[in-house]
Amino acid sequence: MAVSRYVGHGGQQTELAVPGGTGVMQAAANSGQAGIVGECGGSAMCAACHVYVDESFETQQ
Amino acid sequence: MSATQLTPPPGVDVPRMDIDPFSDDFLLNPYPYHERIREAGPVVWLDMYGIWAVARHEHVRAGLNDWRNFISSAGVGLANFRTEKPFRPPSLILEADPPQHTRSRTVLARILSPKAMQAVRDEFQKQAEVLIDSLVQKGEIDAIKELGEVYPLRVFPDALGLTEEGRENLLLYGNMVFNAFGPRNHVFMDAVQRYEPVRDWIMEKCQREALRPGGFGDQIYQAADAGDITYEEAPMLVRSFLSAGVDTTVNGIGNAIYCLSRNPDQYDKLVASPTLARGAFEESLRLESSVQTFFRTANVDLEFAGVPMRENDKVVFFLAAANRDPRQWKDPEAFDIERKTLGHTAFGSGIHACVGQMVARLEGELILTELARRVKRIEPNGEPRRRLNNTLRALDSLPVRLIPH
Repeated sequence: MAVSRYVGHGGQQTELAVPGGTGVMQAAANSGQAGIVGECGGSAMCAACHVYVDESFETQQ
Repeated sequence: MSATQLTPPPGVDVPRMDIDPFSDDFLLNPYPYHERIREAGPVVWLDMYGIWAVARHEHVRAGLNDWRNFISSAGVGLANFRTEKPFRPPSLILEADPPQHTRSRTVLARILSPKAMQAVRDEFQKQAEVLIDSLVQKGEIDAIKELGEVYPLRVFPDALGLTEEGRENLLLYGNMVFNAFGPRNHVFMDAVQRYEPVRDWIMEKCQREALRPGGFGDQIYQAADAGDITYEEAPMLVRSFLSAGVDTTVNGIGNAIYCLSRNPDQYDKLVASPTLARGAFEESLRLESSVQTFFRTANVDLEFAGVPMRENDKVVFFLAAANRDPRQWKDPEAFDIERKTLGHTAFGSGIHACVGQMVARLEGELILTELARRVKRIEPNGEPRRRLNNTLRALDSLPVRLIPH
């Protein structure tokens, strides 16, 4: 299990324990996080999600 | 490289079925067959064609997302391009793998982005208002011939930059292309025969001279100007717009009207809250998926869902069966426009997921919103007639009566 931390527009935080390999969007949508639409199901077409990867993760898989 | 095998690997314990997923009976009502395949196991062998079939949601998604093992460049229909001659030059996006696929996809995804949809939205909405207004005047309509076919043939070729003349040829082309993913059965032969006379028209419309400057088609050539793709690739990518952009949404809209006219309680909900239109369209895609199937080809010997597959084996993924899998969906046969449909596979999944899905959603949303605004009830007005297609869930005729507010 990994821990995903979600911060909403109002600053409210939710932590979810999710199985490895689960998408960040999918986990949020499954647990009904407000503001995560995921309309295209993760095929990078609806632009409802934006991902910024911190440089420190660049070398990690 | 080994040829396609007609029997499962020896000694493999896997359900074998003699179902023909391209028979008239299957195409008319696929759902009981889907259930049989889905319940037989995560993977079954279909003896008639010597192919694997996958119908459970979890495995359809997993297979479609594994583009390294399940490739598209050997064809996304029954034919294996490694061993058989493709019926047409393969698509540079649908029937391609990375890195070719990535190049094509980048260009098309930019042209069909949500931002681009905002730019065409007002015009698409105006056309929806004009069309629904004229249909409300008529009252009794064929929701396929007068709505499902008319709206996409108006707005999409407009956005593409095609002239008015001959647009209905796109229906014949789409019908043929989607039939060609199946076997050479009578449904396919009939589609080819009807397509032949318009073949030259289609190829001519892929050329830059035929496309209004600034439209989606011309933007492909602009990508060639910029060096993102070659000038040889440009007409091939316009061809993808022409083949995939019309018959899919024709049936997406037709199937949505079918669902709403058969579920008046759900239509009432839509009328009460027209902002449910986008969700209603999505739910109709789940329940009556326009594109029912796509194939992949095993790139190497591999194991999938515990089953050993051989290099070059063909695998058919039943998108529409995944969308009714009770393991994934509660009460899967019910049409519920407020259902959370995230994860449905009507647009596929993974790197090949429909690149035009935001166009489809826009068209569906605008038509259903305008119906909700103008029409109190959509009543069935005679038996619908199916149009058999080896890939598409299609109606030929859907008589309904529109009762205005």
